[in-house]
Amino acid sequence: MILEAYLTGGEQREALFNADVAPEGSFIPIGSLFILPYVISGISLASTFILQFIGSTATVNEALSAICNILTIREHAQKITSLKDEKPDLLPVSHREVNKSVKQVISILEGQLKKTSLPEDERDLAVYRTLRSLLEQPECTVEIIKQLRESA
Amino acid sequence: MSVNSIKIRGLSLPPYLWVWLCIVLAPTVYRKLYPSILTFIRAFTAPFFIWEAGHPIGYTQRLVHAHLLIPSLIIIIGFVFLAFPLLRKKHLEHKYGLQYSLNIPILHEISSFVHSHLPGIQISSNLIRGDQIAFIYPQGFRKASLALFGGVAKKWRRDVESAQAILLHELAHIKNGDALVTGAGSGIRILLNYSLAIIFATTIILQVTGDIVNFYDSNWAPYGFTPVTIITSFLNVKFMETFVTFLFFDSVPSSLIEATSNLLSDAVVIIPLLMAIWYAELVADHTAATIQGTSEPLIRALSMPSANLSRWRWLLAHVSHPPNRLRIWSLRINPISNRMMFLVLLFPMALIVAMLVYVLGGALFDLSMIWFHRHFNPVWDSASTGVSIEYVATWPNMIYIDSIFITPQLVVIGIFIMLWPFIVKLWNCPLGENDEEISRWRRVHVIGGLITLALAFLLIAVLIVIYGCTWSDFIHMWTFNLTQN
Repeated sequence: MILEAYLTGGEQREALFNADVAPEGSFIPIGSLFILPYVISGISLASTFILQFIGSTATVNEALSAICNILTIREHAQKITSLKDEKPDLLPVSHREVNKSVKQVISILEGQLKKTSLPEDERDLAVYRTLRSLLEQPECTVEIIKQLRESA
Repeated sequence: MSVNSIKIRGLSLPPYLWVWLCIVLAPTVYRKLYPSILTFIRAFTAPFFIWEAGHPIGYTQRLVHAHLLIPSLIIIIGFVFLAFPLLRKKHLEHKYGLQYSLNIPILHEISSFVHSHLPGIQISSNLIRGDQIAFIYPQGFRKASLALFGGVAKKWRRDVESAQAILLHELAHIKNGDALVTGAGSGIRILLNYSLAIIFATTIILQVTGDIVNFYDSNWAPYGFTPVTIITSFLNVKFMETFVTFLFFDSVPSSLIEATSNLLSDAVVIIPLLMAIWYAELVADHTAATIQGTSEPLIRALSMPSANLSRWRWLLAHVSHPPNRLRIWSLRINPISNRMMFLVLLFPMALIVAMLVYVLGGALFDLSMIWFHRHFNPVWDSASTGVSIEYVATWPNMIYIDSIFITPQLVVIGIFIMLWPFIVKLWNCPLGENDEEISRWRRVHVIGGLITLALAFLLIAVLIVIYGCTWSDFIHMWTFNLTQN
């Protein structure tokens, strides 16, 4: 339903990104966090890179490992730079061979999710879950990306 | 407690929104709003002063009292939504894209739950709006609808107990008759956006401008009020020294203090209504938690991440709801009788707080006048008044006058609280099966009513002992507005 509204475009797509204050008689006055439209928007923007890593020879597990490694690398790098008198570039050699397209997708998705008030650690989790869903059903992913491109 | 307890009105708490409407609003209009409107109209339509004719901005000084209209406008807007509930219904249905078709499986599940507690309630929805959760709105004077959004559907899948707590909260609103009367609070949020700007513009900018014009007239009147003489004045060192001292040490500070005083005076009208609205939310939380037998699902629902707002928008949003922290704190009050006592006393305490805020506003006004006139300036003061200033503080009088108006309200509300269990019994509502709960509920109302009456008698004691107020003084104050107007 949300995807349909996004694909329809125009006012329906804009309505997905609305964040109105709720009226009197509601449960809470401030709207709840709704990240799905931003995820769809991120997938649409990163479609080329998503298709690249889906089309690569890496297995799903290898791709998921690459994703985890990127997210772990960032966490690791942050931990190191927070210590005094230590240089940041201490990443293991094998982890440097990360898939460029995976990095691009993560970067784009994170950029979209930064527009919401989702905390950073939950953002990484949301990105991981999104990419896992895309990788686990590659045919559906390709179809969705095709529809997103047509509606753009 | 049984699953269908939402149908049991017996353990409900007093409907303070209706109490505000029936008991507090009329004295507020009579005592504060009607005189404010008259003051503004009289100031605006007074005969032309001589100095106004001489200065292009002179007539704008009449707008200094424009802030007096703010509380009246808030009440009028709220009254319009009360009197025309279908107006609010149409506005909300259009704004949130609500529809009445429920051809989605998850909506069937949620509707079954809702109808098991409150059969026949109309449900509308817009699952595309994931930022919203649920709210109630009127379908007329007696009926209400429940609007469901993507937020509650998402919650239903992830944490069904929390989702049920949210729905029970909304159903509690309907059962307490809140759907119609919460519209009365709409005016607060609409006008609060503009109130600060209006108060700032009128009380500070206009007032300071008027002070500057008067200052120039009083000190440099022989030279006239022309562009040449004004420029010449500002090139004069002595004039500039006096002017700057006057502006930054007299006019601006006293205007800032007076603006704060005006803000507080305007807020006084809104405080009881605001507290009644917050009370309605806290009671709905209490009802939902009581039905579920635990507060934890509701606390989880209140703890979910929300959209990021600026501080100003956060403040505006919380006009209609207490902060989540307060709601969670209230839900964690144990035992339940203490929670009920806290809720029962919320509204009576709001009347006392409103009175104290009113007195504080009066004290600040006194301070602004004393500050402005602290150096008696023969040229200035003789030009404006012809006499020396001997200021009489107004805030002690405000305690006296406000106490006279609030005391009867507190007495009526105290009696209403004590009688609430009997009123409920007269409505032939089933009181449930648990005698201990019923006894506890009755006890809370008796004690709450007695505390409210004690507050009223305390004010009466202050009036008699400190002010020497008699019964004829009391009647005179109540009829004073009528004779004056």
